[in-house]
Amino acid sequence: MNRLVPTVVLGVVAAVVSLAAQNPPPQTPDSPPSTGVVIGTVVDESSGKPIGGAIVTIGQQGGDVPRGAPAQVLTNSDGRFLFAKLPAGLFQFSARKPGYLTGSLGSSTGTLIRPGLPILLGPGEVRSDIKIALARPASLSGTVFDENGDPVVGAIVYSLRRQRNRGRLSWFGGTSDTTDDRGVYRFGDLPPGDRIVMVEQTNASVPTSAIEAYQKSTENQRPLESNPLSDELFSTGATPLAGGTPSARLINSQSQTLNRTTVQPRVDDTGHLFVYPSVIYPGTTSVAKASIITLRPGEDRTGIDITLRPVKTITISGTVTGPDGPVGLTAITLSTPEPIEGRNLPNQVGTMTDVSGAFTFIAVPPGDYTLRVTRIPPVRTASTMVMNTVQNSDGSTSMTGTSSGPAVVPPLPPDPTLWVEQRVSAGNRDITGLSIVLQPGARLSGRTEFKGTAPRPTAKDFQTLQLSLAPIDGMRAFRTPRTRFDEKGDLTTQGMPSGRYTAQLFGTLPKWSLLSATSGGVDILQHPLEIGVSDISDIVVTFTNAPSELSGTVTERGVEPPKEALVIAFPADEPLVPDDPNLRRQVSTRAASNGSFSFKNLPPGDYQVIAINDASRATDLTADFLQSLVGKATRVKVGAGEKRSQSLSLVTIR
Amino acid sequence: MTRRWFVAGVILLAVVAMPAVAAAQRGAGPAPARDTPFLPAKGGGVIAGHVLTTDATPRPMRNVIVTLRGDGYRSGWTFITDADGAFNFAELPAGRFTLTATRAGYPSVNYGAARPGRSGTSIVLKDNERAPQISLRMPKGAVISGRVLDESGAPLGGARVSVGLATKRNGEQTMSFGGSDSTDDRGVFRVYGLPAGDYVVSVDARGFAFQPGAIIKYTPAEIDAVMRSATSGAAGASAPVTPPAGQEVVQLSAYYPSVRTLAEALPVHVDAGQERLDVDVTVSYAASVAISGFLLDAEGKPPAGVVMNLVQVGVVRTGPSVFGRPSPVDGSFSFAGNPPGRYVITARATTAQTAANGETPPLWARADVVVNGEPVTGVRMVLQEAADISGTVAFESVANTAPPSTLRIGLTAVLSPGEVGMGASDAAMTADRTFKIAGVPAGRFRVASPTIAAMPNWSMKSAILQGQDVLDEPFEVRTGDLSGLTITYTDQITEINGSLEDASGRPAPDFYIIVFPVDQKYWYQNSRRIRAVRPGLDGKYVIRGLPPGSYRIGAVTDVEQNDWFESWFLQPLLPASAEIVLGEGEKKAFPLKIGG
Repeated sequence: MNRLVPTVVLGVVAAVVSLAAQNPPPQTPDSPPSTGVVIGTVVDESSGKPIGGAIVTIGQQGGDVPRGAPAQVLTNSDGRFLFAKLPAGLFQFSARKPGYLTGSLGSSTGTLIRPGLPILLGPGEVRSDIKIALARPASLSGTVFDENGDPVVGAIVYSLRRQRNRGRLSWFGGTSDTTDDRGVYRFGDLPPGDRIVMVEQTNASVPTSAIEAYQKSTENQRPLESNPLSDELFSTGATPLAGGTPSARLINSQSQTLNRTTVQPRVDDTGHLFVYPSVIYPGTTSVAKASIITLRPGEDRTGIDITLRPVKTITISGTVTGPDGPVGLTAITLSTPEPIEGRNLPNQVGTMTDVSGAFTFIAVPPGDYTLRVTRIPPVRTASTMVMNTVQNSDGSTSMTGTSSGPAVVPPLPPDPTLWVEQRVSAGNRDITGLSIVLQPGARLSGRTEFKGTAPRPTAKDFQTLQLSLAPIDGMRAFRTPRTRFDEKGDLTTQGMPSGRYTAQLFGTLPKWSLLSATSGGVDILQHPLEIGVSDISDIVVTFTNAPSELSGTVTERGVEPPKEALVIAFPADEPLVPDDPNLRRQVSTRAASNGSFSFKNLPPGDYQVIAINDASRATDLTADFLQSLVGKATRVKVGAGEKRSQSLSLVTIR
Repeated sequence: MTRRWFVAGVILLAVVAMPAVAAAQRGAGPAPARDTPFLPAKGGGVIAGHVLTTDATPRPMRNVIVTLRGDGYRSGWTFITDADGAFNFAELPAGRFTLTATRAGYPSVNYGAARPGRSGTSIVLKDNERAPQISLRMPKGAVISGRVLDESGAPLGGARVSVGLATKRNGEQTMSFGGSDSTDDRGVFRVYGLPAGDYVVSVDARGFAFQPGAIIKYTPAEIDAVMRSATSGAAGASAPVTPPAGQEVVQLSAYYPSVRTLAEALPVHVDAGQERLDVDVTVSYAASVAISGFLLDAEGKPPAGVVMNLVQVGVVRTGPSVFGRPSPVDGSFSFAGNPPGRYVITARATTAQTAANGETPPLWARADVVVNGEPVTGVRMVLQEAADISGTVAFESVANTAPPSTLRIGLTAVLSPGEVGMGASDAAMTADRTFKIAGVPAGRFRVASPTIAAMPNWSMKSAILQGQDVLDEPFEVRTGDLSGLTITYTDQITEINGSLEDASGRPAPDFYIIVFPVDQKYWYQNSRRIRAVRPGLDGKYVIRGLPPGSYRIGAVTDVEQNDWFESWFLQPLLPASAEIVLGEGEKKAFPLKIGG
């Protein structure tokens, strides 16, 4: 079962594959012999020609690939692959090859857009008709110029894709490319769809007194809270740029790539800096005014050129104080109100306060900003970074690191989270004497409850649980307040800035399934949680050992299993929640090759269930689309703990 | 004595000490401030000039970042050139300054350097002095571009291409890092902004989609056999099928021109500004095997909190590292995808207590494995206790210099070529001037002072462990903690100063001055006894903080970065150099003259 975010499927397959590759689980002696075989071919979707040298991976739904079965197979020159020694079960296949989009069986444009077709394999069954078609990606390229028409070398260009994230459709950053010495960038492996292209520019300044305080401290007593601004500056030992004054040093994001420094800020006669603000193609700073580039499959789109033009900036200075007086050495940011999920906002400007609590942004482009400070006391997690030094043959050494140890959150520090969020408008004149007052965030607390008789989780089990709270509006803080379940399953959090949050629960308890998480009787896994200035102490996370389930079989014309079926279930009576990140009650899955489907751990309630003929519609499960299905869908009631079975006839959607 | 040496294209110049003026100076000069300031005080000096192209008719260069740094200051000034290429640094105090010009697509140039990548010459400024107008010439960067192809000739996207200068380190052929790029969907890479030179091009084709674990390839015949035996059975195809063995394969690293080892690589020559667009490399799959075995703790139980790392010796890997964890059930582990070669498996394990405290993992294991084409099974690794190295720090303050309040003591692993270390470790000095470096696995180490650059008025004098001075001698860590390592710093800083003149007595700034110890056991990379400096425009040079001892001092016209630590570079310099002996805290004037 996948939520309406189909990336989950890919994640599951990948997790299974890597697990199987590293740690094949021992097979229990009484399980039937694994003698199933799948033989298939990887082909080019448009030409139908076989693709040699593609890597095919297999993932089993609801289980691991057993010991002895390889998880990755390379197709030979006739495009064929083989998986043997397979147990009975439900399998998914995906194939990757440079020059093609990663594809799944029955879904050439990538699992991100359309879930793959699961194959149900009986005991000892041999399937030799599997064909995985791969599609050529689209490409998008252009040149970045400066105001003189010279190519900009080393500019970081982002390609943002319209994608569903935490339940809402938004522009999502993922891929970036750096312009070369001709100013040229190229994204060569894009799936079809809508994109916007952006050259992002951020700048940050740090008071030298803060750097000195940092450098004089030892590792265990850093006076600064860790944040990307300080980490970047201190770790790279950034070269001070023009505009760096004896009291502050300026770095900007575009200058931090492998010394390929790009265009730089200039100072005018009045001492004001010019910077290049973020630009979205064709030449705007606003997402709303951007040109949307619609890429067709395999299309080679060129000439998406962007010109950077410097703007004069102003300085904004003031002081930050908290309940106990000035707050020194804390990060403070300005960001535009327009959110781009998953990326820093355009025109983000950062600095930190000096030891006395005073701050100066030394290069703020004109515009409206949200000023934010979120000062969260650090929590040292008990996982250890293990570093390995490799002696290269040139005498140099390289370090590689990975973290080990359990990710257990230690008791949270008693210090409050201090925060502020306020609007600031930058015009033509410097702003001085801005007084920023921080307030403490509200803390959340609660408990876990269990419906059922299975053995209660151990102290260790509880500590693997994590409640993730993310603000719905606005930018994520660099570090989010931590939440913690203790040995008894009681929940505490650090202070949270006011706002509306979505909640997700990560981690699992053996033998228990998540049923709900409520505050004031409202399920916060489905509805936004409003956090104000007062603490919230009534969070109840409930687990059951008898999860509800909805399963069944899809048939076409009443008999045969359909070639392709997407099964969708959504609440029958309640309105759909736009900001629901969990989508526990809006679920979809692709029916297996024999027509079977199942939704495990579905919250009890009344549902509309429908099987439609086009699995690519998995991306358009908007409230409007689901509403349009109501007349054609079947109404099903799933009781608490019920294993409900429902047969469906395929509904053809055009 | 007038001799000229020609070695590997580098002109070594015999230098002559002028004993008449080489009088030893003793005593401490004015002690600079304890903490190096970020920026100097303002003065009346000016350094100004233009940045120009290297064309026959030089053109001014816009958007060049010119960075000025003063000796003894941690920060500097920058200036962005305008359309006329001009830069102007005013209000400078007296001092010695270096200038660097940087522009994307161009290799950085230091003022006074023979070519990009070399140290520059200092500009010496007296009070309120205006330096002569400076011309900084920037040669255009060279480009190495080409395509990475697979065995079938199809473009291979997502491959990591690195280029670097071919060089020799520690007796082994290797490449430095010059630049890198990932191939695009057409298999094309483009590394730009390179100084002229001969570059090795290496390709790691695994790409970002790399997943650990075996990749199996079956031959068409093997698949046909399975098809036949499946269809020969009864309808419903439930006849048991004998699975074929298949062949585990891995995509190899490659070097231009499509060879597998660095030794076979053919360097690509580029002149300044030249574009080489034909540097194509084909990579292929080759047979590989799994390396498997068991990792157990001292009691023979499968351990928890372990991270294992597999490294192939002598292969430049630019992609992801291979990590693994042993099975919590029986401690078994397996690393797939290893072509023939030498490997080292390392493991570090935490305990509940050290994990909770965020300390260095106290347990370790290491195994050397040779793959010759057959799967390697039964590698048995047993976790051992790492050692804690503890001791005290002492400061010998002869000149009444206040000791630093913070510093770090480190251990640098002394590794043979290709040997895989398990992490350099260091620890902070505590308020009572003790230190404890935790979790040091067995091996050979040198004592290091990672924060020495921040304490210019102190020099390491000795590191006494069990009655032996181990400061410059590698010492052995086995199992069992070592305590009582006493590290002594002194504020008796040695200094060699003087000027380099040509035969006619004029300042000779266009050279490197190399100081190196007579005793060859100190000739290793990053030795604290080897220095290479450029004299200033006035020919003057200063070298501070060398340990007392016997040294040779010489001058060369050009030397690649860090080559001055190599014996193949230093050996020929011996007869062309002069001897200089430094006593403790001794300040020696040592004027040098280039032999005609």
